[in-house]
Amino acid sequence: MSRSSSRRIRDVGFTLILVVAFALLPLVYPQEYFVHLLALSAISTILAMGLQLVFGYAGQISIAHGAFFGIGAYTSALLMLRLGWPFVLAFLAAGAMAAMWSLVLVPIVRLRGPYLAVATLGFAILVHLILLNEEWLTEGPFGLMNVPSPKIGSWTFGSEARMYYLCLACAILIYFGLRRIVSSRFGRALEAIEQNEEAARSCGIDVRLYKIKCFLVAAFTAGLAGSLFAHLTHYLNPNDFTFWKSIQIILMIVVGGLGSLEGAVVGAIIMTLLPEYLRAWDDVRLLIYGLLVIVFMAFGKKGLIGLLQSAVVLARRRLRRTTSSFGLAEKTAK
Amino acid sequence: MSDRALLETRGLSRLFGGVVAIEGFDIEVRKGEVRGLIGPNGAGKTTLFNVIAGLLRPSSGQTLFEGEDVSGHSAHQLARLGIRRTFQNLQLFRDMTVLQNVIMGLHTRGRAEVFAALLRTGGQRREERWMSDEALRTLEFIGLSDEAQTRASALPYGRMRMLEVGRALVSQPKLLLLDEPAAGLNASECLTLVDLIDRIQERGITVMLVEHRMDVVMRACGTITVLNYGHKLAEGSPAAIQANSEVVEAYLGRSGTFTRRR
Amino acid sequence: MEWARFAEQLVGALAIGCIYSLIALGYSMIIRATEILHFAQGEIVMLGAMFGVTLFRFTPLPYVAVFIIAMALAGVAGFLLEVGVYRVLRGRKVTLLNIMIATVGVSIVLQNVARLTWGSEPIRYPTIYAKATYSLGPLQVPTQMLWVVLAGLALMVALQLFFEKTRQGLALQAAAQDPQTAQLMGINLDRTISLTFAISGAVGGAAGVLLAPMFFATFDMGFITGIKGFVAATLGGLGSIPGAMLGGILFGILETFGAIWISTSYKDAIGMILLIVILLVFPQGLMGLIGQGEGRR
Repeated sequence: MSRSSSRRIRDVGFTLILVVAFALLPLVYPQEYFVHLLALSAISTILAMGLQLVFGYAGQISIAHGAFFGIGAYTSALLMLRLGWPFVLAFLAAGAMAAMWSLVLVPIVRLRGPYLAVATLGFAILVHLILLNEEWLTEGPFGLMNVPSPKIGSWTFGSEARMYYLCLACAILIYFGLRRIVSSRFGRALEAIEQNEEAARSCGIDVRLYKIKCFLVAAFTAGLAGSLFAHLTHYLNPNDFTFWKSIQIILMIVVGGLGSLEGAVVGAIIMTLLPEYLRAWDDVRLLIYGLLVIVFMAFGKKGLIGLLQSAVVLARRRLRRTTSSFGLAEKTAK
Repeated sequence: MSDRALLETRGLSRLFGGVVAIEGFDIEVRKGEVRGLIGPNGAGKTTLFNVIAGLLRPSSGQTLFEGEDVSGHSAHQLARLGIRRTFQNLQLFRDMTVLQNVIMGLHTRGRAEVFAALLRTGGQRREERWMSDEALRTLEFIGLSDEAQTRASALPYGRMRMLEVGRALVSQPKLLLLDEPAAGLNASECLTLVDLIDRIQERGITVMLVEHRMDVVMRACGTITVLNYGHKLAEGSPAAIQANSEVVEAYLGRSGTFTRRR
Repeated sequence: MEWARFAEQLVGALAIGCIYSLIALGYSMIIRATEILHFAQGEIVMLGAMFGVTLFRFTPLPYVAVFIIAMALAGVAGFLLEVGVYRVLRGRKVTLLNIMIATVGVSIVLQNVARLTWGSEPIRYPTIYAKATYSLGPLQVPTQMLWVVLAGLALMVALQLFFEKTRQGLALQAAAQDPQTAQLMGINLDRTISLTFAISGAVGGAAGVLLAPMFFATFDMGFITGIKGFVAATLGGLGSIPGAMLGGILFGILETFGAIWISTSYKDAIGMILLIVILLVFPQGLMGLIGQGEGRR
């Protein structure tokens, strides 16, 4: 089994390098705005990975993810602001609240395709309207201000850099957590459901229950991301949590590549940073963004990650041509 | 060994709008037998199968499995009870490998859910290893070991059918429902199929199959039930069925020509 | 409420319903022909509205002419999108989902093109009619609403006739139901798809020109209206032409009367919630009722 363990070492090493690189970024580019952007990217990756579970792995088209993000954000902010809860509890409660609200989707879980999408859209619109109209709770369109910074023990995460590291740490933990979930019996069942619901049932999988669980997990992560967002930006407005947010998250995973967590990460980073780099063309910024989306869609089904993978495979083949003993054994099906 | 039927239906009926697909159907399948279900097109075989397998709700009547009333149970519930099936039109997980497809059949034998996966408990790891080993063993049994890493959609048709049987087998079902397993197979593949059914029976698994290929049915089955127009027409050993003039008539019509009765 | 007021509300509901029907038709026709959910359809509606208001500003043409020309221009826009973007993507054999996301991209592009061309301020339509409201017995009905209902119904009838009676229309139906056989019968699929997009564009544009005089024309009006039209199409059953017509009218009625009974700040959600309830009972939309009844789980 030495080949697989050497592969594991390679995997871990690669991941470690990435993590260190991401951790060092704020030291190389210490401008506050950039670090703030990095923190937002980390939060986006959490959102994207959560949606990937529902959309990429289980194949359920959900436009509700932005709503869970909002629910988490407001829950965490309000708990800390109004009830003085400590950050860690508020953070977890945000995830729990979002997960709880995902149970509202239970009746519509049996809908398919565009019908499911519309129903989740309805949920997103409803949540947005609640955030907007229930001013006694959320301050409505005026927005929730002075959301405090997180405090863990004696550490206050007041600076952008500290918040970034917090978000990065969460993103990394969630990545590894989701990776375990995805390569487990649970994850397999989700993939089975995506590929063939009928066959999944014949294998004894309670499709409905699994879809619900899937939404629960995804909503939980979105809630956590919401909490981080609230305490990063210190200000919440309901208009940040419309269904357009959900669509942005969908764009992230489609651009990055459906069906892989890495794709979600890549897509999230690109789609978060892209509008910022287009700021130079301020007036036509969104126009270019839209054009880029169209262009991205011209690349194969696996998105940018797919492109990367093909490039890596090509590179490997060129390197391996001389040592053919590896070639046969490395037959991967996926 | 109990004499009680493994699977029993009583007065099972299924209507689609005004059309009667099956009516008042009684059948008793004993443990360990290989039961064939035949009949001309439109006789209701697939409907019967789909009702037994939980894909369709019966309009009336009962289904009993191991003496328990399972009428109206859903497909996944029946799968958990030990009823597994293959599909007429092949329902494989096309983007999964052969091995992964079979592992899916073991889903009910596992218990690890989200938390166990997150924590990667020892129990979960053992379970994963066991599933992999068990799946490989089944692949050997059906003769697909060398294709373990092949994507299911890349298999030749005959092997796809084998794979589906493997996926249904791996969980050691009590009752295996095969829906036209020989469809699209050539003569030698049919022989392999008959041999496989024999070996499955040797393992103590009860088999019920719907099939059009008479050579397969006559060779693999111990008892054959014939349907026509949603009713049981005849039931008996292969020899008895072949000699039954009503059965011949049902398939070929009177004086050997096609006539539509209705 | 007295029946006269009720009747007025009903006309209003019918009017907005007709508009939703027209938008829904665009969605359903495209889905039927290509299985694509055309996210940019709302923007086509917006383009129709914009073309209309521009024609009014710079030409002395009467409303009928403006209506027709704006419709035609929107149809051209739909056609160009198909030929310039979607066909190219289909040629690259990308997945359906990719194309749908591309329509999201198109939606963004069109919105911003409109914003750059017409500005971000809402544009008011000039007064169109000599008489702002008509009196039908005890009812006071805005002229535009009457026009919307008349034009809307006329368009739907015309469309229905087109599909049932003309060769092209039948070809479209055939291509949608069974593309391969249709090709064997000599039907050029590319052309039918282009035609579908052109008609959907025209119908969407019509909705825009009918809608805008009642409110404003803005570059982002396509967003919400598009969503509502899509919801209406889903209500009737995606891909069903009669379903789209029915769904639109029904949605208009649900929304109008729902807003009266429930607090108006949640108005937008009413339609959605009712839709969800309906979907739960009829997962395939209203048209899913017809021809089903198998009792499948």
